[in-house]
Amino acid sequence: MAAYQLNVNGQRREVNVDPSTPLLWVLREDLKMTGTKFGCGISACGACTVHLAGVATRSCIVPISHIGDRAIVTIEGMAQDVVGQAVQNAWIEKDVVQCGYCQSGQIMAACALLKATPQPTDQNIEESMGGNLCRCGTYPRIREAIKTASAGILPAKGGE
Amino acid sequence: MVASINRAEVSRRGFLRVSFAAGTGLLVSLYLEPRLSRGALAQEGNPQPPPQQAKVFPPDAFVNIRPDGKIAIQVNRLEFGQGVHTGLPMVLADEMDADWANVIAELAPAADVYKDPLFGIQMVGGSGSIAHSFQQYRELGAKTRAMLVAAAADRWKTTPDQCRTEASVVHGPNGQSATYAELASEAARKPAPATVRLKQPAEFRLIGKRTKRLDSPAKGNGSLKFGLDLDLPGMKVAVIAHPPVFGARVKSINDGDARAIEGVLNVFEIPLVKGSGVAVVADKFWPAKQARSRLQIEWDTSGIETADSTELWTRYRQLGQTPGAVATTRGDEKAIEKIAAKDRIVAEYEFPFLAHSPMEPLNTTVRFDGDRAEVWAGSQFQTVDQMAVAEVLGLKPEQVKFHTEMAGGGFGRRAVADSHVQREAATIAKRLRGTPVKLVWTREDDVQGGYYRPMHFHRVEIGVGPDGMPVAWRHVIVGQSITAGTVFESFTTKNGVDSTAVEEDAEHTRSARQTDCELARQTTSRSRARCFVS
Repeated sequence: MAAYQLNVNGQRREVNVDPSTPLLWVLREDLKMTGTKFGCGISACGACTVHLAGVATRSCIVPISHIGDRAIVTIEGMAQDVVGQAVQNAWIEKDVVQCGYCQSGQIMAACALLKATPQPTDQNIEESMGGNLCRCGTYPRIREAIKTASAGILPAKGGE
Repeated sequence: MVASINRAEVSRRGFLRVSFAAGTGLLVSLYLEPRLSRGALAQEGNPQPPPQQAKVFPPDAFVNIRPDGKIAIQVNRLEFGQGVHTGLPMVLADEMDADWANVIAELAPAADVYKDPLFGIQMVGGSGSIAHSFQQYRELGAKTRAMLVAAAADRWKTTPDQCRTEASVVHGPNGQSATYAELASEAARKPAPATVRLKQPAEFRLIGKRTKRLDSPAKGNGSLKFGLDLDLPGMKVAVIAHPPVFGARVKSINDGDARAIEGVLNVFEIPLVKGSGVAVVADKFWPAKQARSRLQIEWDTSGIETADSTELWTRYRQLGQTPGAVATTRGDEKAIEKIAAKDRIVAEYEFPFLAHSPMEPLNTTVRFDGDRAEVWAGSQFQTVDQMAVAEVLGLKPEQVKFHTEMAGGGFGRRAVADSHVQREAATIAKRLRGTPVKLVWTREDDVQGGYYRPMHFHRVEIGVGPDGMPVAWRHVIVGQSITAGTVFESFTTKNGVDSTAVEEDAEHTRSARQTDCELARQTTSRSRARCFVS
């Protein structure tokens, strides 16, 4: 066991866990933040996606000892984020979710994409989101919602 | 699954009840007894509950009209992506003229009142969520509305036909109005109408209208709790080392390294539905999983059926060419044999064993308190799973409080006739009496440990007429029965044909145009892979 100081959604949190513990399980079991989901444990499905220093990261394979002082942002922090709000609103507007289990990860991946590429093409979306699996097959609505969010964040220029 | 299980006529009787619950105030609930016997009905007014009365938890609920105007509607089946958590409340709220903005949906626990009206058990499968409960929820809504209107008519010294309803408000003939919440306690004293007028489609406000899912916001902000997210005071987490082949037994365990991991509480062998395994209980998931990987287990695989994919496919292909039990025929079943080879199309399809892989790994939480137990599970089979847990714990099903948890997908994987995941969780909880324990199947467990969608081989021969259209059709399906050897077999299997294996194809051949057809299937073995695919 070792003590770790973490920056989670802008708040300082301290945990005392085994150094090998993946960030996912620290979030879920020590910090009781269950919005980040366990899907596979091997970085294959994307359900556990969080932002680590702004980068979409699979929290199920990052040991807590590797986090350092990098800021962690989870789905629970998205409501306080301008892009996060736009994406969450678009998700509701397009009624994206079905079972919903992958959607925290989808939204975290979509937010990371839009922060880096505010007006993504279909190809950008596929490249960024392709690793986030949805067993219900909500992909077409995810794509629509990303475009809706994009339009909300950066109104299209050109007078249309 | 097909809707052929227990089509016993549903005897519906509804009445409103009033009850008081700490913190939530007055609850008015429409209570439906789906299969109450005539004897019980005759005892209406008798303060003693009739002996054959349905066992119900909670005692009174499909609809709760709360003092703040919120209307909570119980959903009688699992939500796992299909949208029933929104769909059934829409149906009920429409007939009730409830204010949709104030409707809350809740997943009902296991109870007789929540059984599927056609299947006769509480379950979801075969895409039957709306099809089976559409009429039921319409009647529930309409009867609730009728009682609210009757209460308002009394209040205003008028008749119900002089009143109209909209958005949880009853309006009277002289400009009076009262909200459903205001009328709830008076409505609760009204008898439920035996029959009730349902809306004409043109009157629908919600049914058939695009309506946003009720669970969207909570699923988009991470606040919705799935079964795997459950956190109870004092809860422990368990994982199981399952045998490398179905049915193998633990011969010896060396758990020294596993027990050395901080947070590990116990390691012990447990019986499984087939064979045995080793349970690891820890205070959290990660130490449990770490410990499991450090177990050294010697397995006894003697007497275990060995399966070989190549051999199985060879056998299935051979069976596909031989006559089998006939599911359905129309016209001349030998017609295909009279068609010249050049006018015959032969197509063969192989469907391998497949893991269902719902996004949320399988899990179940159980707490055993000696004379009662509590279960939390994303279950497609509440009735079956509740009975299984009760059996493991030596309890009656009604002593097992069974909560239906939101599930991240299912695809039939959460509808397993032998309830093996729930049995495993109960077996561990029995040993940890008084402590809630959450059993987590990892993704590897699910993919390696089954149960799988059974492997199937289809051989289709189609005779083509001069106009290029089919004139004869023979469709042979070879595969395992998912219900053989289970309580479902007597409902699903007739004359050697498991209807769950042929339902879609039987429908298609029935609807084929002027075609002589035959649909046959055979069961090749009774092992493994007992999962429903919805």
